[in-house]
Amino acid sequence: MVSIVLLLFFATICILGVFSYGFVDPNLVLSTNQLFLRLQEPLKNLAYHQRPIAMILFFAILIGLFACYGIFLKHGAKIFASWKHICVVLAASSVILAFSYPALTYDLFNYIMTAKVTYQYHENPYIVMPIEIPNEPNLAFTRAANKVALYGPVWILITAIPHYAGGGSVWLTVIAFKLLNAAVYVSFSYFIWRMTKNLTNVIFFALNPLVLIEVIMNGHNDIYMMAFALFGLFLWSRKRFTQKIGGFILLIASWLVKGATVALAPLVLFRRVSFERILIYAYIFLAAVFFIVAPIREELYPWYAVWLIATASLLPLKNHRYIFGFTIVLSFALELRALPYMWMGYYEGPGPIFRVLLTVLPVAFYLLFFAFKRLRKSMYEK
Amino acid sequence: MKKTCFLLVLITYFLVLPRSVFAEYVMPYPSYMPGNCMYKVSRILDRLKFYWSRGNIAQIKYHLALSDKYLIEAKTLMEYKQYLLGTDALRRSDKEFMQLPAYVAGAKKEGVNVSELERLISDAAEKHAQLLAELLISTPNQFMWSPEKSKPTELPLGEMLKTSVVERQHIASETASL
Repeated sequence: MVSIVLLLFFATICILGVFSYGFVDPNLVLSTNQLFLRLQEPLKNLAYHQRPIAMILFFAILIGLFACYGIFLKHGAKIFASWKHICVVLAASSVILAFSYPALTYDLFNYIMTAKVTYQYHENPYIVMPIEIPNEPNLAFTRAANKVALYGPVWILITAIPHYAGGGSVWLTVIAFKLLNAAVYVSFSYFIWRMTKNLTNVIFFALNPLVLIEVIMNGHNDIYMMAFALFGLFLWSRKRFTQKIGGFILLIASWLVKGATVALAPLVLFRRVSFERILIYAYIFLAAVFFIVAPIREELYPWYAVWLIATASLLPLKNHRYIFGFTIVLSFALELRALPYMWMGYYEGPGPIFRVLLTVLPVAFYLLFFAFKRLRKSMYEK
Repeated sequence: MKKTCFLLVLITYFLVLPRSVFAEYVMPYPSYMPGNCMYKVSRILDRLKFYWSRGNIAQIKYHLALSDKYLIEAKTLMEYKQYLLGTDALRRSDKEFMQLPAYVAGAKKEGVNVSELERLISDAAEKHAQLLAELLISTPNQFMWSPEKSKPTELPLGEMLKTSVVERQHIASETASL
């Protein structure tokens, strides 16, 4: 049973990795190798010309990953004997996905472009937009090239590592970005393990399909923001002064990666409050940003759920089952948001309505189910 | 006579000769003027922005924006006959504009296609020259600035404005030939 589930999980991850290469931007040439091009052709045909089939396939991949995730959550202690065992699984799956293509987003190319503006052209990315370098070849496949840097200076500093590691090659830079994400992802999973000593908490975060897809495959930078913020809050809750200072610095570093964790600023004022309580407040504050501010600013992007998953993963599972359940259903619902685009090939038209429905319905069903369960429980108790 | 000839050449250059214009270069609104309590703050911020504007393209944007700002300041002051302050602002505008070729050359060295930047500088030079030509008409050729408690200063306004126009045209052609 254990090996079957692991086999199914890795097979699905591999299929996702291969499937992602169908979505390579038509203006981006990753390799001129004939074998690579021959293998990529049917995938491109599937993604761009057989859209309904591509959508069904992606849906099946999601179902497969979430089914494995459910089994891992339920039988984690049996499947994974120790942290080392789960660490091998995390490392293996993140390496596979690090070599996949960021199929569902163009953000990674924006990061690459901003790093290039900063480190290759030596320009201030907060003043100069990529589009102002008209002969830059990456403009052919970069979206939002008409914007200055959207993230903080700490993120710009971090991007120096993959930029130089990539050595000017787009594909290598993409992989370098994702391997760095994988390193932070494994480190954060280890932090969860050290904090909770519960493998189910590690599984809840690290094997969540949304985390795997958005952090490792699509290479979003939310994991850096959350790792800095949560580790910072943990240090801030300690008694030693140096730890508090370190925690505050990390919290500021988190704000300077991506601004969402500014919402956690009031937490530094809370005194004599347990770390568990701080985490619950952090979850509530981040959920407020996620559900109120994010849709006003743009829309509910699936990778924003990494904020909630990362925060919840540090909570004791037994005391907060409802938070875990809600977060899992939310992550599934958010990943469904990719389906309308896969099917139609554009974001507009009925796309926004479909995306809202695909997000709201599973969450609404879960909340109804939860309310019904609570009601039944209270009736039995009476 | 010389002034009239110069004006005629300028008018012919800007109005008569056919040219393809894609978008008119837009000058900023006047900022704080000398005497306003925020003027000094604004000047300090202008200086600080220099350090923020790292990189050749950013420096081009910075110097061009300041050149525009100071030119508008000079124009506004001269319209109010504050010639001494106006000439100071004009000198600053010239100084900023003269910084541009070095950064265009720097951007080119970094591998940036600078044709858009060259066009921007050429458009700016054209617009500046147009404003300066308007000022040439409305300001006296020479002006004796006599403050109450210090020595009078003779301001060769006509000469200064003409020099500014020539400098801008020179910079635009220098940038284009890089």
